[in-house]
Amino acid sequence: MAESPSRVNITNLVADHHRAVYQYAYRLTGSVPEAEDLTQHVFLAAQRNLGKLHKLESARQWLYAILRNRFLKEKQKHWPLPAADLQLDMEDVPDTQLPETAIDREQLQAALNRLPDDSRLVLVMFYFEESSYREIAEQLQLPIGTVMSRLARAKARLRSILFRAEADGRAQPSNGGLASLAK
Amino acid sequence: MDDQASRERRLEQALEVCRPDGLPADDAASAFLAAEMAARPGVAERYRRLQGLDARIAAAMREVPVPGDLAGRLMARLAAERPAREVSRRWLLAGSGLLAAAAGLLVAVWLGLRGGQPLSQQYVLDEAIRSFENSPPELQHWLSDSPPGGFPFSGMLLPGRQVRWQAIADFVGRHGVAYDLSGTEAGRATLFVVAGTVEGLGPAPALQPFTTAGCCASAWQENGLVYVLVVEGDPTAYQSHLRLPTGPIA
Repeated sequence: MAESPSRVNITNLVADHHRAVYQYAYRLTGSVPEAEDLTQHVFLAAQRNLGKLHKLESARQWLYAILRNRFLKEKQKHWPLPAADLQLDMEDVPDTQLPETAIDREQLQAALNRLPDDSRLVLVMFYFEESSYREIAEQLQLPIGTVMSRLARAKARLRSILFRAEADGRAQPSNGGLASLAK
Repeated sequence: MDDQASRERRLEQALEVCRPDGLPADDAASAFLAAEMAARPGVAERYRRLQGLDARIAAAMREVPVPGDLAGRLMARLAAERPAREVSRRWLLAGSGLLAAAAGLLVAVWLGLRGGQPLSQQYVLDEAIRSFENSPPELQHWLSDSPPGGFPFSGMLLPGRQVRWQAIADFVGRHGVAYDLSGTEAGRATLFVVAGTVEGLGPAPALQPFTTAGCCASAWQENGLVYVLVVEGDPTAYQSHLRLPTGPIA
């Protein structure tokens, strides 16, 4: 049975969503202290604005929106992107059959950390939040064409960094990681 | 030639951003991609490989270890912010009156929030029973990590196999912690802990509790904290939670 809005309280929100909010924050910030600070900010803001949450089912999206807004506000001074990052870099899409290897979570974070903030944000929305490019455009209030190009560019760049890191490590004993994907 | 380059660029973008099941059929990029895949088998194969890679990146993206005590620290921080906000609200109300009256009101509020304002025993018992009866188990979210400091579990009680807790935002006008003492076979039981004093209240739970139709309750105070135990069932069920074998010490 769905919980009525009157039963929404901050304790329930923390219990149900603190893990997902922290994980989202970690992928965006790339550091444990920053992720904890951001998570704390999200729930403090939620406590102050609890009356604005009208549907319990949308609580997680509401918390994510608070998180994104805070992240953007903090990082806004670093934008816009340098011109070099605007080149579409598709050559790293592997053309051969890909083996079913897992991607190391820390290696993924290291690659994310090398991306501009706006690229990291659309990637986390796409992969972690599972948003479509239309939803990303709506949430970030950006033109759809802008989001499409930014997302495509960010995905290609992410792969490029991941593959390069694996390729660099290929001279070392192989761990069966992403290097094999780029052959 | 330019048209072909533009077409390829559009295709690369569609390959990246289109989810197989995430867009309406009338989405232009999805329709374009579908047409290209139908016409060019290599495109379909490339899309399939990209989707597989995306799935693995998404799985890795969600693999983030969460600090075990994070919920407890969040609740402590949230609880710490509440009194300041209540003072702020009361100050706004008082601001419309005389300065002397406002100052008096602020002093009263300050004392109340610091737990200096006395409560009555019957009031805290009634409020605890009301909260207990209005909080069905399916709507409760207990946490198992360390509770926020300042509201420790009482040494007068048997904690059971696992101590679980949740923050309480407004119990007798104060914030605090509720502990769940429910066992797998025994009925529900909750211990409420808030800062404050109750005039004449003893330092230990009573052996013979206050009873209602469905539950028993007792209140006591330790170290500037008021404890209220509410147990579903009769006095025997209530007494099964007490650590002390004999009755009230006060």
